[in-house]
Amino acid sequence: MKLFLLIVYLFFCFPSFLYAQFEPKKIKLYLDADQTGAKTSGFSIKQGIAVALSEIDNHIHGYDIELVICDHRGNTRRSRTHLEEFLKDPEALAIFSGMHSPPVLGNRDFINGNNILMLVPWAAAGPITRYPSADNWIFRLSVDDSKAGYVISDYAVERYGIRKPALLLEKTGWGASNRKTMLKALERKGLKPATIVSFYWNLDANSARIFLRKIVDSGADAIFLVANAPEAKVIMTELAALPEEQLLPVFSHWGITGGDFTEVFTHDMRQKVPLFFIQTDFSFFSDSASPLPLKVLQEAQKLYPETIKTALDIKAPAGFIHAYDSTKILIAAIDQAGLSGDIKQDRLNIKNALESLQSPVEGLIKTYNHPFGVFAEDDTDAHEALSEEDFVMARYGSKNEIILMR
Amino acid sequence: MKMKKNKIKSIFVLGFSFDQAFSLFLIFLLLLVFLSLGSVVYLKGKHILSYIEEEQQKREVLGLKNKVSTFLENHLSVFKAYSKFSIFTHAVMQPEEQLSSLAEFMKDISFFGESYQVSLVDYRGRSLYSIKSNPVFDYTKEDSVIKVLNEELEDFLEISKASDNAYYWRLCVPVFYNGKIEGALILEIPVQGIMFRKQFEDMLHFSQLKISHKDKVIAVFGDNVEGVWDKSPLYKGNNVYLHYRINMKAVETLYRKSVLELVLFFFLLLIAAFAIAVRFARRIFVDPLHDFQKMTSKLMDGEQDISVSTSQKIYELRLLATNFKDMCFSVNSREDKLKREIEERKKIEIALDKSKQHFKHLIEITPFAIILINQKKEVVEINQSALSLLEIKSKDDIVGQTVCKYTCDNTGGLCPVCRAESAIDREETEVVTSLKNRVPVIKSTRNISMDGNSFVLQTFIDITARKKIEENNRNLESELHQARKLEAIGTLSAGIAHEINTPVQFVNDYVSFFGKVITRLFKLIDNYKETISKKTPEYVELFNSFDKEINIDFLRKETPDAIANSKEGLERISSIVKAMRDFSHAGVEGQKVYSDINKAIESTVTITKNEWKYVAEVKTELSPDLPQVLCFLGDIKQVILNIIVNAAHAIKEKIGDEISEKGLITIETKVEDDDMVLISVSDTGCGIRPEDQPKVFDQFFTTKEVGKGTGQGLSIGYAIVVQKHKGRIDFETVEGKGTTFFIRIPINIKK
Repeated sequence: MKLFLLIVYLFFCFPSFLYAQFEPKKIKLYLDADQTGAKTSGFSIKQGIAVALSEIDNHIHGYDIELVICDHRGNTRRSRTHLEEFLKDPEALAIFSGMHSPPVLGNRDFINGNNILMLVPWAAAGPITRYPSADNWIFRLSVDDSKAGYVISDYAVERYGIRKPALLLEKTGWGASNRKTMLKALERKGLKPATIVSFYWNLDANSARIFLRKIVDSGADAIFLVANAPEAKVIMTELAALPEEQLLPVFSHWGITGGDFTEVFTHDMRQKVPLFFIQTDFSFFSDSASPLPLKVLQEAQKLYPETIKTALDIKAPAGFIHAYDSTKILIAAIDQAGLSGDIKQDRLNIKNALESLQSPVEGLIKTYNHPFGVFAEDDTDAHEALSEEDFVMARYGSKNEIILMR
Repeated sequence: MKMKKNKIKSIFVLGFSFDQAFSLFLIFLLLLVFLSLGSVVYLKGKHILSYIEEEQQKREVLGLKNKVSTFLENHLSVFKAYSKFSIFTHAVMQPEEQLSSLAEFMKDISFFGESYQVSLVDYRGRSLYSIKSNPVFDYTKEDSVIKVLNEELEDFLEISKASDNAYYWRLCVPVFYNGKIEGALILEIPVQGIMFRKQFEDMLHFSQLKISHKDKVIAVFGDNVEGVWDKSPLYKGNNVYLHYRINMKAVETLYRKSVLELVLFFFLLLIAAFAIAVRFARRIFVDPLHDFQKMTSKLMDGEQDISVSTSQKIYELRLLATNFKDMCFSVNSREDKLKREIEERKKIEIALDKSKQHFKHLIEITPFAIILINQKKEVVEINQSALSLLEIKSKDDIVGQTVCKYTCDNTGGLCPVCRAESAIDREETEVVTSLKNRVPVIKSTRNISMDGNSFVLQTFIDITARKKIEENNRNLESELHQARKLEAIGTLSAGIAHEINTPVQFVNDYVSFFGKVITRLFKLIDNYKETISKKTPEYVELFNSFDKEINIDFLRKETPDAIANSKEGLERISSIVKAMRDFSHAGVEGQKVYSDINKAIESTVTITKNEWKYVAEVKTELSPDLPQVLCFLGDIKQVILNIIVNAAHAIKEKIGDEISEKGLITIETKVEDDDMVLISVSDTGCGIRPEDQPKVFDQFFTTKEVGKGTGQGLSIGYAIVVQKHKGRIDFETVEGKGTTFFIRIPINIKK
């Protein structure tokens, strides 16, 4: 009887045993981004990661790489859920997060406390990477507010002689960090803002008209805008509706490029209201002569033949670029650390590899030599891959393409 | 008061006016309604009121349900509006960041002035923040909340039981960002809290209420009353029911009060309705009918120009008015036609009447006596001539009577009146009158049929006159002879008068001459005597002797008287002759001429003077205005002469030889009835004895001595007046005192 049971057991279990023995090993890379409100950015990030992974055939050190897409919709709680799911997943190696700073900021303690290896291709809030602990697991290759505020402010002041800008910021941690930076940047130039206005998400047109009136009345000569695409669409549309003499130039953070902003705030409207925004210093249009961008674009076209035919089809290109460069750095780190199969250990190894990457990584923005280091109180940019020099102001062209204002 | 009594009396005598009838009808109707409603209210009121109250309660329940629904839906709407506030969006997206702002914001959240428990949950139903977080709910286990978060429900509203065992209305609405549900707002409203006390209090007067959820009683309101619970869902599809039952004692109290109020109200309402209805009916029904009545009266009065208004509000009355208008036209047309026909008929009737009268008159005046007798031998019709014939005063005395009762005693068939069995043609016979006089007649009878009945028509011709004529004919010749004699005398008188008149004329002249001559002769004699005496006194003696011899003094004295008497005598002769001539002048022979009756009377008086002058005085009172009368003048004079002579004889018979006591004959003339001349001759003679009176005008009847009267004077007078002149002659007499004869002659006024 026992023998019979053993035979039955072997009959049913052996195939699965065999399968387990020969199944290709897999690591998972999570992408937790806003695939709903700012879906352009989310999609762009996904494309950037996919193209980078495609370059290594989604395979590394004997492990297939699977990209798992999560949509946190900008919701911190939803993002937390995804993080929890990530932790439960034994194959989950690292997670990309963005856009939106708040989900990362809101879960920063959780991320670091649970050793979640996170790369941020699109979230600018300064504190994201500045976790005052050795257990800082968040690495960013994106615009950093602690620098962006200066870039935006200096550009406006120096190039356009702005003296009394109004700070128009969303009422989030991201908005708060920019407020701090921008005030510092203005102060550095001996200037003060005409007014500071904060707004909640889900902004309605009426509220926008009210604070725009307040800004105009304050005597501001420009608006420094920190907003994502959903709110920026409302603000810019209402601004364009003001009388011509009340129109103000807008110097914006890059959050506006994350969604369908250009479809609402069209080229004609942009003719009325000068709009500049911060971008990393790369453009498929400006830098198309280099071999890598061309190669990347070709790979992208190969991978997404239906959606990407030209560089113009890469919407929210910052997401693509940052994600591509981030993925390339991650791949380099994996190469450097290797994969043990112990996912937690691998996460730690790779974190350490990121902080001590030996070989340079050629990215779209630049070639990264030691992009990250170990975070310390005296090296607050240790987990920042980009520096102030990597940022530049840009504008939209007539075809909604981003034109860098170098 | 009297007028009112009269009015009431007139109502019962003449009937009700429409107005009064309608008012009475209305009063009756309204009383009936009042009594009916009163009875219904009294008998069925309680049931009705219970039913009404039940219905009322149902309505109240429905109203309450609606209020609850409205309340909840209003809260849901407000709640939905709240959910769109950016702060909630922001809070569900970044709760940790927004917690302080959220708390600040939610602190002031109220719904229509009331604060309730409001919770914000994340996309999994985990509570992010709550105000008044007591009791505590775990929304992650609430299916409805999860369904809302999973977009399976748009929102919801339900009853929930909290940890404190209290029940709450739970409203849940999602919080969106970018069109996606990122969390939810949940409102908890205690069930007791939303019940509207005012409305409940009103309802609790008559009901007890309770609210249940899934067969569990959540809340009970009002005092315990007996009765069966009725239930109704309080809000759509969430197993919450409102139960209620009626408090019949309260209903009964209300019933009594309501009945009293209702009766009073009905009474006032009926009075008002009566007033309005009367006014309305007067305007709508009565006034048009009065108008119709007036128009009808006008139509009855024959008024043709009747203005008929067709603006009545009632269709039938308007139709009636239109028809009445047409009828007026028709009636007027017909009346015109009728009038014409009536006029024509009247003319015909008048003509017929005239014809009848003429016929009747003809029948009446015909000299033929006509009697119509039926088969019972009763007189049916009789004419005047027959009445005269039979000497019956009135038709009434004979019509309907058997004719023999009056006409004869013999009913055996001898009576010629009664012998009506066969047609008789012109049979000469006699009838016996009611006065038993026998009258000779010529009788004819015919059997005739009228209107299906058989009659005998009898005609009689009175042949008394003919018989008399026949009898008189025998005297006629002597009479004619007498007449001729009279005529000859007249003619002779005229000739004599003419012959006498001439010599009398010149004798009269000569007598006058002789008178003068004699006077002068006497004067001459005296002159001779005086002259001779003076010259020869001796002859005086002679002369005296002569005087004595011839008695000259006597002559001197008598001669003038003789001459005067001679002249008087001559004048009398002359006047007699003149009267004879006038009397004999009888006008144009055989022809009536217009004549002066007064003059005829005067000449007749003169000519008859010799008859009356010794026995009577004649006094004439002749009307000076008497017109000339168309007559046979000689005949009239003859009549007057005869009457005067008779009067003189009657006076003489009365006074005898006592000449000193002369009688008086008074002759008067005057116009009577404008068409007759009345000549009355009165005497103061002996009068006529009653037994003689009927015979006065009979021929050859006289009371005078033989040789003095012929007995023809008055009979001739009767014939002259009645027959020749169609006049009348009659008399009044009192024996011993006198007689007055009245002669009436038609004037036949000269045109």
